[in-house]
Amino acid sequence: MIKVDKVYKVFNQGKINETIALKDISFRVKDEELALLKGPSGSGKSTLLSILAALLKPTSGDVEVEGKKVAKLPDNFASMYRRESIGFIFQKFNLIPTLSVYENVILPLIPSNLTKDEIDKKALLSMKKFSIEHKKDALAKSLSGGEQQRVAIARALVNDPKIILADEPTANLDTKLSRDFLVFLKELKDDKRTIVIATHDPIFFDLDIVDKEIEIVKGEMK
Amino acid sequence: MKLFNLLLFEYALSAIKRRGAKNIFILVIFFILIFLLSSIFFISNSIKKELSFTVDSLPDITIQKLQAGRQQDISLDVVDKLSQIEGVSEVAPRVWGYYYFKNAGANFAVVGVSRFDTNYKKSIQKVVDKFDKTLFDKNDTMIVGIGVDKILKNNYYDKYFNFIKPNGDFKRVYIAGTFKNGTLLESNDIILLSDDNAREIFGMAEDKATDITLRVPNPKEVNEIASKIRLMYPNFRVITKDDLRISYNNIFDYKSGIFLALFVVALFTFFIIIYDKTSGLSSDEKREIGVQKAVGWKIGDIILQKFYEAFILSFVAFFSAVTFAIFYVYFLNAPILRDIFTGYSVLKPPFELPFSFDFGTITLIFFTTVPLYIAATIIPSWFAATLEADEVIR
Repeated sequence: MIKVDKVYKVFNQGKINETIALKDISFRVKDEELALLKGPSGSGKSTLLSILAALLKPTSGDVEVEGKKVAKLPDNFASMYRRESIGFIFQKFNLIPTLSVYENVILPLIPSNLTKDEIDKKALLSMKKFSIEHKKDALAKSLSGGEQQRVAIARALVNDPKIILADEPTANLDTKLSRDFLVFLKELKDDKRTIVIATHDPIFFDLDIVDKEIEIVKGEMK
Repeated sequence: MKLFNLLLFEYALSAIKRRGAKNIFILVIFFILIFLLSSIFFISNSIKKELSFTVDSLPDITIQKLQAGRQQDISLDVVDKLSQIEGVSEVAPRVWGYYYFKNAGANFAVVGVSRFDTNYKKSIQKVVDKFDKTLFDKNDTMIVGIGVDKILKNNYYDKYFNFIKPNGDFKRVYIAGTFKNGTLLESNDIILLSDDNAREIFGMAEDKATDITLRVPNPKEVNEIASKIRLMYPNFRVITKDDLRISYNNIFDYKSGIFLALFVVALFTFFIIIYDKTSGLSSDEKREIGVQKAVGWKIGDIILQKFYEAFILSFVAFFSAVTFAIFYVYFLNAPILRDIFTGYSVLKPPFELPFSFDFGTITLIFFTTVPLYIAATIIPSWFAATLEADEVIR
């Protein structure tokens, strides 16, 4: 369960360029639900997703994920929380271009206490699931957009997180690849994961796998 | 968090490879800096060691006569009085000086010894190569250093040399032998001959000597005896072995200073690297840290990876540079650099640097370079890692 209560986020507070990114945001996403955060560019969807992933701290309000208060988590606990509970798919994939596919996929597992064999097994499973294992030695920068996205998804899922957060996952994909992503999404939903997608791509609207749509405009819920 | 994580270590290695060109540049600068520093200290220590052997074999007290601030020949009348001082076991007048050989533009150190002194004969045989004993027993013979021998041969003096006396006459002296190659740093420019011949060449009277040396068996008495002589002969300069040791050290500390100037360039470049490192990371490096944090790396994990990266790089540079410096100094005999210490004359001494490994010096070099570089790598990474990941990767 994800609980968001009265979340505010103000950037550059008290300065001349102060910006209110989120204002009084409250919602719930139950376990195994797929929720869409809809809204135009710059509405605050990505900021909200970053707060859910504890990549960013809200100015005020509470965020609870699986019973854990994540809004004010100290840095190291936030990292642990992301490592154990969250799979994040970034808008621009955020792969490390000079690393191979395999190295990108295992990135979340490197600081863990797993053995090399265990890491190999997990990485292979994840790469197979998203049909990218044949490119395991290729550098991330040499991949096509669709392949990069599959690597990003494989990396997000390699530590088997319960919650998947995806920020504009189809923004850099063509129509065909976007449809392929919907297939992945269905698989993730079938895996009984809780998914939150921030998007303004109409391809997601009215999908039968979507359980909840939360619309945000200029930082406020509609 | 474990201090050693194999996967993190492998990641650090791959990070070094990924930024290959930049890291090779850093490695080369680091290598040059450590190599120069180590070589300087190795050469300096070796020469000091060699010189300390020399100083140990010097007389305990040397007495010279001064007039108008310059050294004058000393009268042998004082020898008896000096012998009577309690604690002095031996008093020996010496005849020596410098002979300028115009054709080669070189100064030879001419030292006179008594041909009839059996102790000298024995010790000379030990340090002399190519020695013609029968010739040496005759008058008008000499033993020369390797450098002198070379210069004489270049000027067609294969068997003898014609010294020009102060009155303009020639004095022919035959070469009876040469000092062993690499035995003594200071034997290179020496000409050893009988004191009679030395007197003749320098135009010195028979009741005079260049200086007088004293042996004092008890080292604790040396200063006391030196003070006594100063009181007896206020116009004499009394030099103890310790004075000479300080003087030698000063010369070589000064020459180390010239050496220091050599690696200032390397040091400067090193500090530019340090400045570059501490002034911030590239956008790619910042982004990578942001991604690492976003996928669950803690600040400690990032710092540990950066520590591995900096340690591998700096330690490889340090270890290879020190190893190469040992090889360069002790196996190759430090070509080029050695001349800064020893090349004060036309005669370049062909000595070998004795092995003198000072662990303290190496430790000092290690702690003034490696931790500095590691800190310069870790600090900006730590700054980037403490930022909110969202800020770095957007």
